[in-house]
Amino acid sequence: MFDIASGDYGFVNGCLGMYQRFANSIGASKLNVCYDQATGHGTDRVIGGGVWLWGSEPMTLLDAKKIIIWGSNPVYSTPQNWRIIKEAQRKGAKVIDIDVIYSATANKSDEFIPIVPGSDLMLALAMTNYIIGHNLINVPFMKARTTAPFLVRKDNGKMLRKSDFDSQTDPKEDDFYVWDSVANQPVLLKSGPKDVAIEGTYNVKGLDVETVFTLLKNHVKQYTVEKASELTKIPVEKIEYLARTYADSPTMVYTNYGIDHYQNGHLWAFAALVMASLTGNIGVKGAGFVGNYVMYMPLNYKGAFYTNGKAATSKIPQTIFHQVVKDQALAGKPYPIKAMLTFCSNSMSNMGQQNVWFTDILPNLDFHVVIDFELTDTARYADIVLPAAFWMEVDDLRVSYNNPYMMMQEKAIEPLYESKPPVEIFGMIARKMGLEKFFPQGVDDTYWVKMMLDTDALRKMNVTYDRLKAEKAVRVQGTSEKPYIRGEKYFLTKSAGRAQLYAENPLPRVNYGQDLSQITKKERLPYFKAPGEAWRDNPLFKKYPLVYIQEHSRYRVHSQWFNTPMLRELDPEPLAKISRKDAESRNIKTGDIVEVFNDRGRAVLKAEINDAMSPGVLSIPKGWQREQFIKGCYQELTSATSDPMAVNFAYFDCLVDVRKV
Amino acid sequence: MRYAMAIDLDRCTGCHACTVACKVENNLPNLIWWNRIITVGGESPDTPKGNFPDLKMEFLPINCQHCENPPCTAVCPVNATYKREDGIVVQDYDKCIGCRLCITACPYSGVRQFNAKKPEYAIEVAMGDDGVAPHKEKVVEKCTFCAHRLAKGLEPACIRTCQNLARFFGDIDDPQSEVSKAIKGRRYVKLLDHKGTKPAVFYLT
Ligand code: SF4
Repeated sequence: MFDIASGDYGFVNGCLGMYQRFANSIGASKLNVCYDQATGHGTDRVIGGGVWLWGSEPMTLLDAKKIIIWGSNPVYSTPQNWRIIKEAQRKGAKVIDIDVIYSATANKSDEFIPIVPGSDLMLALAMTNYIIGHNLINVPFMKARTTAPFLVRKDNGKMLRKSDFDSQTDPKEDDFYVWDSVANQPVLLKSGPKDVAIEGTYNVKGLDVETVFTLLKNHVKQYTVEKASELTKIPVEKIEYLARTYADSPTMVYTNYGIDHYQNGHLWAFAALVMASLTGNIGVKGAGFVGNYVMYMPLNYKGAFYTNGKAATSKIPQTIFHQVVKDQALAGKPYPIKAMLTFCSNSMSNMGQQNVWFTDILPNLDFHVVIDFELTDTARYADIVLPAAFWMEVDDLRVSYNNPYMMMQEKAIEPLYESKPPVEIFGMIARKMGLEKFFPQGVDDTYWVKMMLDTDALRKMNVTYDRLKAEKAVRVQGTSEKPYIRGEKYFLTKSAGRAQLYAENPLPRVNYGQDLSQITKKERLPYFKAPGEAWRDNPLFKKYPLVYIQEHSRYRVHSQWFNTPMLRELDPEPLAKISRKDAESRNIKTGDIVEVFNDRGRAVLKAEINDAMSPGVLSIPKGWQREQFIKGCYQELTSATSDPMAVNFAYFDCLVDVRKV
Repeated sequence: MRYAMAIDLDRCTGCHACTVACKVENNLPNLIWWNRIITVGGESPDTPKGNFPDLKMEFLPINCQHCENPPCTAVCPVNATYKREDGIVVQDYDKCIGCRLCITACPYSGVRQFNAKKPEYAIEVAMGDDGVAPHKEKVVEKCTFCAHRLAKGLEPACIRTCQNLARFFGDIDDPQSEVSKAIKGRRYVKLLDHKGTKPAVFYLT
């Protein structure tokens, strides 16, 4: 089993690189990563592009009139984007921050709107209802760029297509029906009707249908502003103001993976993108979503990685990995896993519910190897640790989140001590396994860099080794005058490139045999689903009344840099940040040693009364390693339970209590 | 010709990039920081003051203010600290006897730091620029406005590192300098101005 995450995005020596050549050559399996997947799973329902292609280039923020930062703290987590938000603010954009804590971002915003953890979905649904009810929708946009006018069959919930009446239709030629409001009759979209109806119930050749928009409009009526106010604790007038502000385009939403960390995260993203599509706040200048901008690059993946024509499978999500290892079975069928290789990943520290490593994972693995440049928790418990050379000790090729450049990464020094470039580590192992033909002796990083760049698509883009060598960074999307807007021409959907307000056939992000029969139909439209654990109606709430979040720290990227001495002078030890009210009621003072606990585990550490914490919320910034706690670890408390569609760790969907020890 | 620095408090997010850049450039020993970020707010760093959600917080980067009227130079019995013509207040480790009178005299607590013991470092190789004077035991040290970089025509290390473009530097007598342009038309404060120290650091508000 290969266990790979995002510790280094190099195309040769990182998680996008040659380990795949090795894994595929030996026919390994690969764990499906369950970090930060819900946001993209929700956006994919509306604009396609899979889990990653939803954000616009951050420079597009400069064209926004308003920026709503929703469940994100870019000052800490994406400072490279914050400065652009700041510049937009200086140019006159209004910055509104919606969050469960008063972050450094809230501090810099024009307005801070606190919200109950996990209730963001309800807010988005109620705003959508208000926008529709008060006719703040952008009808021309809906007609031209969304599926609002498409017709849905009442009998089976499917979109009405040409093939419904003509079984000979070539699937590639299939088309959608819309209602021509001038001719007052159903027509195929490609016939180019002068005007289309976005509302109405019709009968087409004996089939009862209604437009997607009518369906959505009726569905969201239940989400009143009053109901949302009760759940979010945001005053009614404020929600109405937010809805009006949002609809007055162009408005940008800045988000990342805060809301993603609840079991209803994908539904929030689904709802937010539907709301954007109704108001023309997507795919246009100054509006859309920013926070994680990713580029797909046409590198030589096939030639470099698929040595035997096959790719390592990704059937087992991290969220159920402990169960599969323990049972040595998946969905009732034998699935032996005896050895694991961890690379670019501190999985033990970053996967939810850490104690399953001690009870289920480690005791049932015969052999575990970790390749890393930090002695992480995962490495400490491994059988063998192979020291990887650091980024500045290897040549590589990379694109990073949130900028439009392809970059040549050139080493500053040779690898120190025993460390080796990961591609060399894989090569050495591969050669011992008789795979010399895939990993020839004596080649350097440059050999692999050139192999990755060897595609006609890149040559057409004028992205070549020589140019990268000379310029170091090459802009490959957009221009500085016209930064890249996601979906400006079309969206990556199968609905004629339109934004989908209705997901006809919602599929899980990864299918491992989970039961979806109860939810598949429901998931066609964004609906309110309460967080799985961190919700006041949960009986557990009486026992564990605090919602536990693990905010992004200023000084770490997840767990990376946990042991960097200079940073430890600034931020020496883990802290449990507790609101004044919750601290006082438990007689806790700053500097006291406390135990944060629930049924899954505990963390013993120093407490800090922190007025940024909303009462009822407790935070331990993430990324500290076990040895840095007095006892336990911040990740013992979180849960591996995930939403069956998003299949994603819902770290913040977690209840705890705290006591002085 | 007088060197000055401007820090835009609206832009500063307290990220500490400048403090780390300073520490690396000048190979500062463990626990020594010539440039620090103070949180004006709650009792702990990075915490606000007030009642949720009506809260306030501000970040204040502080390094030697390179005052026009430096109280520190006046009290030094051995002339180890003195003002150069270009405005920089320098500290000569060879002359310093470690009496720490300057630390007492300086109203900006913490900008002058004392190496009580033999300097220790987190890693075994020296970092930063080799033009930096080696650190010594039992002497006072502080921000030099990166005089070794200025000599090469470069700006202090903290300036370009600021990812929020909050820091500016240059000759305040030259209206075309970056610092003069940054201050122009802006309101600013100088720390403890009433003490008559006339600091060379402008805090843009
Ligand atoms: S680098 Fe800039 S934003 Fe960061 S703390 Fe220093 S002055 Fe402030």
